[in-house]
Amino acid sequence: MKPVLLFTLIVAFLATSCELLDPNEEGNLVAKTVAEDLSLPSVQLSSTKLHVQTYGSPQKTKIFMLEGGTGEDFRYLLVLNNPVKGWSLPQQYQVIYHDYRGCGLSQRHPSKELTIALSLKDLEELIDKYAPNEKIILIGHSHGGFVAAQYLNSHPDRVKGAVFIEGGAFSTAINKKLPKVNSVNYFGMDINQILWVKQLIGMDNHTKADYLYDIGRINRNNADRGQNCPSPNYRAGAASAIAIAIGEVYDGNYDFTTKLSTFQPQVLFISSDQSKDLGFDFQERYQASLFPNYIHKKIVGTGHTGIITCRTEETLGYIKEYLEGIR
Amino acid sequence: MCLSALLVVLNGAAQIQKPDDNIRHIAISNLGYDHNLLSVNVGYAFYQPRLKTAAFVDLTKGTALLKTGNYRSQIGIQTWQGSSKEFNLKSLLALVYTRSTNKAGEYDALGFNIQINAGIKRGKLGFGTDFQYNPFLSTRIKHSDLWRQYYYENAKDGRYGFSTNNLRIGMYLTTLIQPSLEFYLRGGYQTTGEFDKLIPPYYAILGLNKKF
Repeated sequence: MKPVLLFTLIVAFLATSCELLDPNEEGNLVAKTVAEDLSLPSVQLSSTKLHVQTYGSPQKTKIFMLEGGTGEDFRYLLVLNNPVKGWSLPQQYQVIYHDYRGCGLSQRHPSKELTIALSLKDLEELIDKYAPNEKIILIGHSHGGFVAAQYLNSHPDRVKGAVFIEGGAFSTAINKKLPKVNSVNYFGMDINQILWVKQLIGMDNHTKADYLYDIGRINRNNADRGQNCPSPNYRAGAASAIAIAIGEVYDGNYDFTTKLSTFQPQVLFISSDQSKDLGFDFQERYQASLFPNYIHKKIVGTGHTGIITCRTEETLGYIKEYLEGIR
Repeated sequence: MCLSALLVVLNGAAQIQKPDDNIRHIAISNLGYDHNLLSVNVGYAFYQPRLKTAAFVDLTKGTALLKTGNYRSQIGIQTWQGSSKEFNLKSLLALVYTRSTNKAGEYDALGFNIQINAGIKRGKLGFGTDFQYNPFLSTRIKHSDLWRQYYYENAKDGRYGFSTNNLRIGMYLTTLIQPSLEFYLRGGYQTTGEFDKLIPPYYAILGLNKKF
């Protein structure tokens, strides 16, 4: 039994010999959320507390920025505040960013409280708080386009204009038509980096699951989605990604297209040529044409996230032109 | 979620049936998935018939990460005390060191591995339950500059306690292809926790052990 005794001694040594950090403690591996860090800008809604950041005067028309994901946060979208030739969104509008519930620095929830319906409820409350009785503008990238369509389909009378930057599929039926180009290569280096480190960082709570999800994002090869510039993020929302992006979007049943054909104001689509799934061809064929009055701009030489992070100025140029047209 | 069939896991140092008393050495060589697709695993065990126990070492590397400094090594014992002609009880206890490097940072982890196989034998065949518990007690993490720039500037570097618990619960099936050559299959459910759902939570382990 000497080996067992030796083993026990080594384990005891490891457990007590040095001061160990707690991987479950917020702030060690991942940033604290608004639930732990009260200095973060936040808004308390009826069933959650969201990380919210506003830019520009509250007297101006409100633009709600909607990030991709779900599981992402709005940090990578902040480049859309950049000035272009003396013009910027915060100069002309009040721009409101928020991390969806369970994502970024917003409050974490059990999986059963991470649903498409509750995300819509949060956005409704947020819009009512910042723009009561006002018409607003939505700008959504990827899953944010999905959220914009969801809100617009529920409250077309509240929306003055909308910009869809390679929005996610607006219905289950459209989602089934997505080109299958972004499948995971289980033998590729990127997925194996993630699988390998998963044995060291478990996914038994939000803190570690978010950390591992972020490791996945920093290592993920997005070659199928074209040009990819560095994309800063606050903190992933792993549970939200699992519950909504994987559960409700890919295995669920939803339809946000029922009233889009009655929405008369012009909407803007901006898409890339290198994104092989949600790119220009897909948007033109299945999503843009759902609106009676749309314009669709193609940005050549970039991809899904590159539209935001690499070609910011060009994207802002199209947004500026569109917004000036719907004043 | 559709690639569960690809998750074939090969895990080393896992002679399941008790070796005969004239056996002293067990060579271990496996190919497959062990936290990585595909992994290469090589090892050696020295068997003491009097104690029904073998000391072993092994090394695992992922083929997709051969030149990246990601590997896993174990040193420990496996014992068949409690086994009989018709009943097999194998226990494995090992210290585990695992290193991971990727764009997020560098990880050096120390933990232990407990594996228990209990089942019955019918001639050359055997089958039973497969249980494995592998926590990491101390994981040193050093985050990269890239991580701090684009994800979390204030991430803390240092040694983290109990960073994960790897749990596998399943079944095994084993057969002696030759008197000195064991082939086995292990399969079942694996998890590191509530949110470990990004890939199918199953494992299937194929192994081959040469005794001499």
